[in-house]
Amino acid sequence: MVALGFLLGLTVLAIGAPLVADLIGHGPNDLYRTTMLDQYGLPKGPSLSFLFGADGAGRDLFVRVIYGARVSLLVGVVATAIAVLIGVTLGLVAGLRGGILDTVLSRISDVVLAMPLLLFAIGISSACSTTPQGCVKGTLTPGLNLVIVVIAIFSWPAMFRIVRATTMSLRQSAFVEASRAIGMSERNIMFREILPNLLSPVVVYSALLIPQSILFEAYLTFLGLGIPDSTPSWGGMLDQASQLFTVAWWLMVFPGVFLLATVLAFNLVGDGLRDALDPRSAQ
Amino acid sequence: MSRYILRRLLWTIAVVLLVTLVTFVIFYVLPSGDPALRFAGKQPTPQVLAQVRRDLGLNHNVVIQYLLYLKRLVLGDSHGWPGLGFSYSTGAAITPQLWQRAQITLQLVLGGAVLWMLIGIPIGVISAMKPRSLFDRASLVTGLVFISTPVFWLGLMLLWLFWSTLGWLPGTGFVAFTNNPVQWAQHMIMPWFTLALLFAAIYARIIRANMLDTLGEDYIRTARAKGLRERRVITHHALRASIVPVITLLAIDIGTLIGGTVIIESIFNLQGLGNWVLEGALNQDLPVTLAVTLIVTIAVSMLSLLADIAYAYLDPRVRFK
Repeated sequence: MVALGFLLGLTVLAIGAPLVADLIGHGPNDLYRTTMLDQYGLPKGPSLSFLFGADGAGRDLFVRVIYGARVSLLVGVVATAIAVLIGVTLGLVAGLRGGILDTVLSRISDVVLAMPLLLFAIGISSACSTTPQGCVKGTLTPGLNLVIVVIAIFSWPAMFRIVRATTMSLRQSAFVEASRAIGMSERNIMFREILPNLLSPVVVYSALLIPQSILFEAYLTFLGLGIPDSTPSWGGMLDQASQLFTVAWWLMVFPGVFLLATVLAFNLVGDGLRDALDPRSAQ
Repeated sequence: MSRYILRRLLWTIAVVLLVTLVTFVIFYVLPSGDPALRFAGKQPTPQVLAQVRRDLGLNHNVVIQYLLYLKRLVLGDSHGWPGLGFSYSTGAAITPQLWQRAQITLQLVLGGAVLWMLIGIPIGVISAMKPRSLFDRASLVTGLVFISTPVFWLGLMLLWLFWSTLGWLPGTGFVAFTNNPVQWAQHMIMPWFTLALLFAAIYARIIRANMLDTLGEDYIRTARAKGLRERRVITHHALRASIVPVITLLAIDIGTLIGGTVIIESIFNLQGLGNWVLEGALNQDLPVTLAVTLIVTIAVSMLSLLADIAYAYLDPRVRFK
């Protein structure tokens, strides 16, 4: 409940980030070099007007942290949604049709799961970032959309496996046999009988996929291969913190706590959903 | 057994071939623009560009390019075996440096693995012995926090606390074991813990679940009924059965981590494989990124093959699936 409340609050803050920035009077990319950097060019710590202090360029860290929630939530939700869409569609097809199609799809998912994902993500990001045209004739350019696509590519196989296995066991269950016996069409069986029963595993796993995607985006951005610095993101702020943490603890603590709390909250919600929807797993 | 090994071996070869194809597509075909420009590093001279075209056979069509890529890999090139080419940015051959850097990464990963098993197994076992006890609940919550903690943040916090604030440990960098074993350990202890805390949490969860399953089995009741001490039942009967699935997992995790320690290596400035990939990516030194991605993925496939064979040996049911 606390976790759900935190996520709701964070979402409201993220959507209302421009309002918060207006209220405080500091934009996310406004520089306060004269007031918030000392004579050595080092940032000053938290104060009443700068709640979380300033970052290395003299920008308001509080406003940037709030804006950073936008990137994390957006990447988490959109990348997960794409992965779920691919995983569920292919899983349903493989589970219902079986045969060669199933073998091919399962093998592809095995291969993707066998790849060290961070390494491949770095590879794709760097291959697509060497020229400004990006990848696939300019449809994949460095930045937000590349990060989302990379995460989705490596996230669908786990969902595919779950959906495929569940569909296969459902297909042979008594109530599907019964529907078939009373003459229900295959299409109706798929949408009326099987799909509703897939809902709970898909929901539970999606909830657990979101925090993974958020962490993954933060990792890529921290390494300098994700979201560019002009867009405030928690990974980017922590990247800067890794240079300055000996003199400016706030740079490391605030974005890090927000990132940890968000991921933890999603994990708690996912665990809670699993216990609620699948009582057998709650031991 | 031999049929099972053969089947797994053929599958591993197929996976390795597919991986070469995927890496080829990612690095040669997918990006727009002239491939020679990408491999040649930042601001290449026309001579270097011509050399890249010649080395990689870029004037042939895509299929021939792929076959040449495979040929270099399998048969080696002028820089050694496997043929991974040449970094046009630094002017150094890749293969010799690969082995050197792999040693540092291996020290990090193996040390971390020992540590997370030492932390994770006892916590999992004690939690399973008294489920829903205070210890069990506390370890579950702590575990969830560590699973949710961003690795780089944990690393930075450790550095801030033990190096910058308390001054108990040296900061970043690496000292070879043969130079000074004490300094080696001092430099490795924070990277090991950063790696191990996350995995200890995951492994404690798995061991706990496996133990709970095993403790419900009939043969555990039999062992208790014949009057064995609880301690012996746990260590000789329950733990032995619970740990077999973990072996497979361990092999796969170690394999994946050989390429997954990018973040820890970059925070603690360890010149291993991960840091190299990152340097390659940030300096547009594509041959380096390509080589490490390819070799680590092949290593992961090999390790998972070994793990499956070990598993089939320990648990005969697997062979006949």
